[in-house]
Parts: sequence; structure tokens; C-alpha cells
Amino acid sequence: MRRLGLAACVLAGLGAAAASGAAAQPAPQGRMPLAAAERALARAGAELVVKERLGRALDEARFEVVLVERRRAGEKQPGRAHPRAADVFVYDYEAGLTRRVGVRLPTGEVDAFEELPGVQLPLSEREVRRAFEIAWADPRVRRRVQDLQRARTGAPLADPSELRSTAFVFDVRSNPLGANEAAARCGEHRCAQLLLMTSDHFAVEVIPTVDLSEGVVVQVDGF
Amino acid sequence: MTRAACLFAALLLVAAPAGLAHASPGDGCSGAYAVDETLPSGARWQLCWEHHPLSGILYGDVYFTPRGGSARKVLYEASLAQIHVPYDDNGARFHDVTDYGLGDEDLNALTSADCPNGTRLFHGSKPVLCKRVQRIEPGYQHRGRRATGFALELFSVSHVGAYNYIPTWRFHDDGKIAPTVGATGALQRFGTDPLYGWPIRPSGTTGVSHIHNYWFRLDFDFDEGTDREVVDEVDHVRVGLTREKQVTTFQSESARSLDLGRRRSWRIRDLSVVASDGRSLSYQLEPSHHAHRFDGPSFEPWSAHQLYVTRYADCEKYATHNSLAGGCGSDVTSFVNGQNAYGQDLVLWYGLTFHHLPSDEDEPNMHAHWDGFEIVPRDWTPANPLPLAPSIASPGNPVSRVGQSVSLPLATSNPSGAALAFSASGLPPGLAISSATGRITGAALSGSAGNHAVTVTSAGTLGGQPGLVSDSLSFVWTVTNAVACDDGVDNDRDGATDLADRGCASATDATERSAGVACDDGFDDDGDDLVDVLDPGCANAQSTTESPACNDGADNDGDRLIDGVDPDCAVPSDPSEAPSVPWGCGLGPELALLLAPWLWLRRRRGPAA
Repeated sequence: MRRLGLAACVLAGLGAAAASGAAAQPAPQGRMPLAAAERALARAGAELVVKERLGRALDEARFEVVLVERRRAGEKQPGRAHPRAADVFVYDYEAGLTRRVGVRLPTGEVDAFEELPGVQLPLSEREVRRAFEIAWADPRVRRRVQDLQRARTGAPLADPSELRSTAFVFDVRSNPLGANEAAARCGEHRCAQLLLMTSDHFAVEVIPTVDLSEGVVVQVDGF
Repeated sequence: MTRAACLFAALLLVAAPAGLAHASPGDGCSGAYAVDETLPSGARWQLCWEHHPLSGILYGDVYFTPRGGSARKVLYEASLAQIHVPYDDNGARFHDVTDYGLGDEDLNALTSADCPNGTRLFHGSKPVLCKRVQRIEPGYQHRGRRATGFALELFSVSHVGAYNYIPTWRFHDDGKIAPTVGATGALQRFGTDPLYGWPIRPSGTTGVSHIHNYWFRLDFDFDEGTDREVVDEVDHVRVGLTREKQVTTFQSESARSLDLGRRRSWRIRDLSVVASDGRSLSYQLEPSHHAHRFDGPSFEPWSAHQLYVTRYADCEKYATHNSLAGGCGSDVTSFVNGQNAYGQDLVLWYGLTFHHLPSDEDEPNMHAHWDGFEIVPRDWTPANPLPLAPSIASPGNPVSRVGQSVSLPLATSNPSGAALAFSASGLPPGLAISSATGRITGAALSGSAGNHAVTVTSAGTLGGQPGLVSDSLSFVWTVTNAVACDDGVDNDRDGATDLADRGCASATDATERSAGVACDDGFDDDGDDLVDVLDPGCANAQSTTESPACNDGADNDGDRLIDGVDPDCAVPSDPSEAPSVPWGCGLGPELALLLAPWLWLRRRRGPAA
């Protein structure tokens, strides 16, 4: 456990508070959600421990911060106040698993750094963008999307930017009897089930599954 | 000191102080995250809300104060714990909460149009929750007595793919909590096989049918620090022509199914929290929406039941995909593992299902379909906590006459102490009700005779809301025309008015005349074109004949000559058969007897003319 408490940075801290507007927010307490400053503090704790324990920078492509949440574990123990803490969940593409970094608030002490195999939390925006790029680069997906669009409107899409994409994280446990062999590795791999929508708000009738760990489309449409 | 370390330390300074205990309402939160709403009827809800990246909005430390009562905790935490969406063609089986998330970027920024008549609550700089008070009409109604109910409504909107979900929680002033979810947006999936949906476009496209399984997590806590909860299953078993209530208290964690035939419901109570009569305060889970059921494949074992009763555990957060989201146990079925559930801190997991068969009408914009259930207090308050309505005592069916002055008070009880205002419709013209006192006064106008359907209303203002409680009563008001014996007029011009007239036996008599009394019967009995006392044959109104001496068939003066034969009778109406002679010149005794009435009639002729 390492704690950073640096009185020399008081002025910097006040400046950060003023700049973020955090002073206008009620003081976080109890079951209130993480304030922006707390989220930043939690992420800073994660950066610190990843650097210390893995020798890598959190902003490398290997890592994806997928969830920052207020820790609720232990808060109902009799006689205890809400322990104010945050958990940062990071997907480590190189290790192929999710890691949890526990950060106490407001001290910033890191009290947990653990591996969570089998945990697949929702995709970050960056992961969704990447999933779409992989899918659109796949001629099977592109052809299918354009055929559907042509059938509906009489003309194909002029540009992929005409599509809006969102995605579910996909784990084969959602549909073990419907996934093909490649998709069956989702869960062990990090996968996205991509939802596409046209600019006129019609859902495209194809839902490709993208293996982000491998960078390939493993299933073009549904199961 | 490195720059990064300095920034880290700076962040420390802006982070919050340590968490606080929250053993009373509002302790666990502040600012926009604390909701404290006293409804117009006097009930109060206090709670905290929290944004969560996966769950969207969580509610916690929920306290209810009934009107005139004291605050009591109901829920430690409540949330939408999964939306599971399997498609009929098995083309997708989504777990929206854990695999997509309802919070962060997927939580809509609400516009003021999204939240009409409400207040938007902000998470940071983003308005994510709408708070408003909804009228519930009626809160109750019993004949004319009614009260308006109110509910604190909180909702957010999360977009998941093409869908917009609207998790909505209503906290009613009678203590009821109604969680519902609206689903709108656009259809997500299409196919070509109508076996799995419904053709919705000319091109032969099929909208694929699908299920929305909504799972709620309800962590009840009645009062602080007790957590000695038990859950009862309440069935109603048919025995012959009767239904017998059957209550089963769970001793261990349980998975239970709906039973429509037995009208099954469940209630949770705390062994330590009892009313003065010794009964447990409880909340009953009413599965009000259960038209559809989902029976999934073996890898979706949670679909076998709709209610799971589990011991509280930090790591049991989502009904499905719990372990994928970092929890312990794959899904709610793994939470039920034989632990003692009697007198423990319990959590209810309740799932309800809506099967959506798409239609043309779902494009381009899909209607909002709503699904939910209710948790209702049982034995929480000794009576319905909504304010008691005023009660107007029936005045019967009043009768008054045109022109009659009336003053009718409406006896009204007012147990709630509301400021009452009275109104009436249908009153006879000329009558009015006092808004302040409810007294009906005035006199019915001419031409208003008949039956009038009257409705009087007493409406009370509470909490600044007019008409919050009211009573209405209808009756018939009959107006009659004025009667001769009570109109202040000498109708028969006999010198006596109303009851002073012998013809009036009572004030309701319709005539001042006396049947059978010739001089007061309204008829020209003797055919001389003169009626009653206008006839000189009548000595007074009590005279029983209008016939004067010259027309009465009698020898009145003893000269053996009758009426017109008597030379002293010039015409039949002559009042005397006796000759007209000066006073003192041989007046016979007969004439002397007639003198007095003759003089009286002379006096009467003047005014009658």
C-alpha cells in the first residue's frame, strides 16, 4: 500500500478544485456517487499501481479502463460508516483479463490490486470505435450492411460515418448454444456484439461479433 | 516530487472527506442526491439516489413518513438489477445492465421537455433524473367522499442500442412503491422468417419477437440495525367453494414461482419491528403484471422462477451475469444456496416479463410499453394514511315554496382539518350556498316550482392544494307554488288573511274558502251573480246562505207572502220582505232581526266595490 500525501501541492490542489468546478458540488459522502475529483483520484491510483506492479503506463493500448465505481462492499456491516472508496476495473489485453484496483478515498491509498479472470465489463467508447473499425474492414460485414441498406433505401451508404455504432460486451455464456467456434472464445477473449444504426434511426439488420483481443470478426450476424 | 505525483496529491485535496454514518433520513447523501419530498397530502419520502455506470440510477436509504406519523426506513437499496433480452430466433440474448450499462454515456441528458412539471436532478453537470409529483385520481373514493393521492415520481432514461429504457419509481403517499420500466425507441432486430416475429415491411422483413425480462433487486431494511427479516408466501387455496389463506414462512433462501391459481404474493417483515397491536409491519410484493412468463433454456436457469429470496451479500449485485460484472455467483440461482433466511438481512429479487411481438406500428418510432409491479405496506399504519375526506350529512329532500325564505345548514364533519369550500349545482333559482359555511339561503323565485337535482360539494385544501379531499352529496329540492293560506293575501276578500281566515285549517291549505259554507265557498250559490260575502244575502263569511229574504222561499216577515209575492220585495235580491219604513214607525219584530245584518252588509259594499 502506498500513500501519496504532499503538502507542497496544496496550491496545485486548490487550483485543480477551482478549475474542475468541484467546489460547486456537494461534498461527496455516504452513498453519493463518485465526484469527478474522486474519479480522477481513483484513476490516478490505478495509474500508480499499474506503473509500480506491471511497469507499464495505464494509457497504453494494452489497457482499457472499463469501469470506475464507488465501492459498496462492506458498507452494511453493523456499526460501520460507509467506507468511501473506489474500484477501478481495467481490462488488460495482454493478460487477457480484468484487473481491479481499489483506492481509498480521500486518502488515495491503493488497497487492492487483483486479477479477475472471467470478468467482462461493458466496453469503453474507445473499444466500441475499434470494434466498428474492425467490422467495417471485414468485407463480409460491409457487403451485408450495404446490401441491406440498398434493399431498404435503394442506395448503399456513401460513407461508414453514416452509421452510428454501439456495442454489448459479448461473453459466450450469454449464448453457449448459438456461438460458432471462434465466438466461443469470447469471454476468454474480449468481444463486442456490434449494433449499427443508420442516420435516419433504423437499426441495421446485422449484428457482427468482433473479437477485440484478436482484432477479427468472429460472427457476421447473430447466432 | 514528480509532476504526476503532485497532481495526484492535488486530487487528494479536492476529494471528499470520509463517509458518514447514515442512520437517519438523509444522512447518506446531500445536495441534488438527497430527495426530501413532502407530498400535498402530508406524507413524506426521503431517499438518496446514486448514479452507477451499470445500474443507471440506484435508490437508497428510503424512508416513508405517513401523514401524521413518524419516519420509518423501508429500503436500504433498490435497483434495476438486469434487463435480459433474448430474441425468439436465438439471434441475440442481451444482458443490458451488465453487458452494456444504463449509466455514464448511456444515461440520457434530460431536457426540460423530457421532464414536464418536474425538476431535473444533476449528476455533476448532467441532468439525469426527473423528479416530479404526480396526482393519483382518485387516491380513494367511497360514494361521494374522495381524496386525491399523490406520488413522488423519479425516472431516468437510458439508451441501449435502439432502445430507450425509462426506469421509473413512484413513491405513493399511502406508502406504496411502484417500480416500472418503459421501453421505447426503435426495433433492434429484423429477420425474414415470420415464424419468429411479424412481417412489418412490404419487403418481407420480419420484426423479430423478443422478451424483456426486468429484474429488480429490493434490499429491505425496516429501521436501523435490526435486519431480522422473514419472508412469507401467501397463497389462497381453493377448498370446495371457499378459498383458504395459506401462509408459508421461508426458513432458508428460496426460489419461488408465480401461481396465478393461488393468487400468490409475498411479504417481507422484520421480527423486531411490530405495531402496537403486535402485528409485524410488512411490505407485500404484489405481482400485478404477469401476463407473460419466460421459460429459458438450461443455461438461463434464473428463468425458472420469478422471486428469489436471498441473504444480503455485497457481491450479489445483478440477477444475471453477476460474475461477469465482478460479483460472486453467476446469477441469482447461485445466490440461493441453502443459507438460513429466517430473521436475517434479506434481499428480494423479482423478475417480470414482457414478450414483444413487433408490428408495423412499431416503426419508425416504437410505442412505449410499460411493465412493473407494486410493493405495498401491510399493517404499516392502522388505517389508510391518506387524509380523511369531509362528510356532508344528508339534509333529506328539502321542500320549500316559491317566495319562502329558507336557511339550510349542511352539517359537515371535517376530520382532516382541511380548509373547506362549499359549492352547489342545481339549486333552485333564488337559492345560493355560502362557500365558507355551506349554509343554503334565499327564497325560490317565481316560476321555479318543481324538482331540482342538487349536488353540493365540500372541497378541502391541504398542503396548498385545493380540492385534495372532498365530499359530494346529491338530493332533490322540491319547490312548490305559494298556497292561499300562507301567502299574506286575503284571497277571498272576506276580511281575513291566511290562518286568520276560517277557511284555512293550516298554512298548507290551498284556499281560504270553506267548502259547504255558502258565503265562503267561492260560488254564486243563489244565482244572483254575486259570490259569497259580496252577495248581500250573506251576512258574513260564516253565513250558510247567499239567499236574501226575497229569494229564500220563506215568509220572512210573517205576512204570509213569500219572496216575489211579497210586495215588499222589489227584486229577488232584496234582503228583506219587510216594507221599508222609517225608524220607529211600526217596525215589526222580523224586520228588527234583519236590521243588524243589513247594516253590516251596507258597510261591506263600500270596500267590495
